[in-house]
Amino acid sequence: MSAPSTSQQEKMVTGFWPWFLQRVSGFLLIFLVGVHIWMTHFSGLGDVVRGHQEELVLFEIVKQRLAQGLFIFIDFSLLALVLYHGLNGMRNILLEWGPAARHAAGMTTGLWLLGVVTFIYGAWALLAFIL
Amino acid sequence: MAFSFRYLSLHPGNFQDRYSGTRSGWWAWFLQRLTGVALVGYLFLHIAVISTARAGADTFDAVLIFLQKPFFVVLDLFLIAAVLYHALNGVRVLLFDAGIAIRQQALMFWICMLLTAAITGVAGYFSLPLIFRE
Amino acid sequence: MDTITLSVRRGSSEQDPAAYWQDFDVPLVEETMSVLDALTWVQRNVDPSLAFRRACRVGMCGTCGTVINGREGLACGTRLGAAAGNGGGKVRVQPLRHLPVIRDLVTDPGLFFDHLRGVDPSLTPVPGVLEPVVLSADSRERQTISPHRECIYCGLCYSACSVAGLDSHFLGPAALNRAFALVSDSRDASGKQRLQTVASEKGLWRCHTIFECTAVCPKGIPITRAIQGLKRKVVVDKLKSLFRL
Ligand code: HEM
Ligand code: HEM
Ligand code: SF4
Ligand code: FES
Repeated sequence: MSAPSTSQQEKMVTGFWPWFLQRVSGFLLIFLVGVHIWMTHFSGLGDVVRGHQEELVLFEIVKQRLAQGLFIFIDFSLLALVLYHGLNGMRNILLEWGPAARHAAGMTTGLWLLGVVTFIYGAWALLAFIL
Repeated sequence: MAFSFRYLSLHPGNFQDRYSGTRSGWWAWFLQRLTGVALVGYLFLHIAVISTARAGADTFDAVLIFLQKPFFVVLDLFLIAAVLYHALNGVRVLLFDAGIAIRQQALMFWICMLLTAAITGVAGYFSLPLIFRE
Repeated sequence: MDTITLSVRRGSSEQDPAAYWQDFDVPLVEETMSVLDALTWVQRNVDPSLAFRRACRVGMCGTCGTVINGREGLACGTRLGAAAGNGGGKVRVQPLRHLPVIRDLVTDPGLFFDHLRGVDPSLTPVPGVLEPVVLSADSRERQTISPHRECIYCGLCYSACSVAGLDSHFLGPAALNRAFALVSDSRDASGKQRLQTVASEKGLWRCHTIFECTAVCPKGIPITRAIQGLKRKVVVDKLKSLFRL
């Protein structure tokens, strides 16, 4: 038996990218979720307590935030990455559960579909503040 | 197929017969999983809530004013604790993947717990006016 | 003489609906008496039908692995008195987890060894090199691999691993540890290929650094460190090949 060629050998490695991208997305989410929770829950806290602002989150407040390109970028990246990371994490869990692992390929496709549909829906929702 | 505790990997041994050794690594993983799943659940609810903006600014505001009642502010604190634990332990795992602090895994777990408690405590302190407002 | 209650899980299979805990009062003959000594005492003096496995009695053969007070241990390497102290005066012994029970404390280690076979656990000699190949005892390489070659294949790590319990296809700690020992050994010729076999959905990526394996290994092998070492090797390889393109 001849040794497999390098390209064949590369193909023998399975599951590396989901594992690696789980790490990369997790790392990026530290900043995205951090900024998100800070902006939505804490930066306006003082104003609410002092009565300058009625609530932390209202349509106008979000609209003003999303008038800035930076926050549009942050919100869409957050939506995409948190969906990838969360559903990829669910895939990890399901791969360790016999009944689901037996249909691993179909399950992965299903999770991708769920993710893409949810992204479109979430993006459509966010555009309500932007357009 | 009958449900088995194995699927949660809650071997009775992990609870019934705790030996003197700490098994913090198991708890770190279990909590990472628990908070991960909880956050996925929250994420879908969250997107559903934000999408009420499509029904108009008034609907959105009505929903969000309701969701900022003291009860939900308290729930937010649980959410913040879950995010903090998951993120901090996520960093702990990332460090292991980089080959760092593998020997100090138990200490690292307790640091995650401590920081989660401390930061949630600070967040809770600043949220008090929202919880106890007329 | 003190007596200690030895509580043994008895049954003919894991799912045996009639499986039960049976208590035996065992005299603590010596302070150094092991859980294996207690099991032997029961078999000789109370119930000859009690089934358990052992061979060497000195922690070398790896056949006497059981779960003692909820934690994996070699029966011959666990002191009865100390275990009783930790177990509230009682010592509860049950078979290893994640492996089919044959009877009482005897499990079928077939699955464990199948996974070991899955990583091609024997050294592939470098072609054309004459034996014996020397690897100096104080070389860095030797010091890296030495602890990982101490495995006695007792299966304690496999029993302690939550992922192995969830997914019977997962290679498990001992097999991955063996792969690490070979991949890190310059005398082994099939390192690259072996690395690729373990870099799979049923191998490295199922490990979630739970550290239970490392905690129970009777040989003190830093198993998790080995698995992380393998992951890093794959990451480095992958990123290198990505940027070479
Ligand atoms: C904020 C920064 C975050 C970091 C640094 C992070 C990091 C990680 C890491 C490293 C893992 C892999 C754990 C393992 O393999 O044992 C993981 C798993 C997971 N994460 Fe996150 N994560 C973050 C946020 C989130 C969020 C916001 C969600 C939910 C939407 C989430 C959901 C999950 C799920 C479901 C898993 C799978 C859990 C498991 O396999 O046990 N994570 N995370
Ligand atoms: C106390 C905590 C939180 C509050 C008050 C909050 C509030 C909000 C608000 C007001 C928006 C609208 C857009 C904006 O203002 O930027 C939003 C969007 C979003 N948030 Fe949060 N959030 C919180 C926590 C989280 C967490 C933990 C996650 C991650 C799991 C998350 C993920 C998202 C995503 C993905 C969007 C976009 C939603 C969509 O496309 O419909 N948020 N959040
Ligand atoms: S690695 Fe340790 S616990 Fe696992 S089989 Fe080998 S000696 Fe036993
Ligand atoms: S009898 Fe050989 S290891 Fe215990």
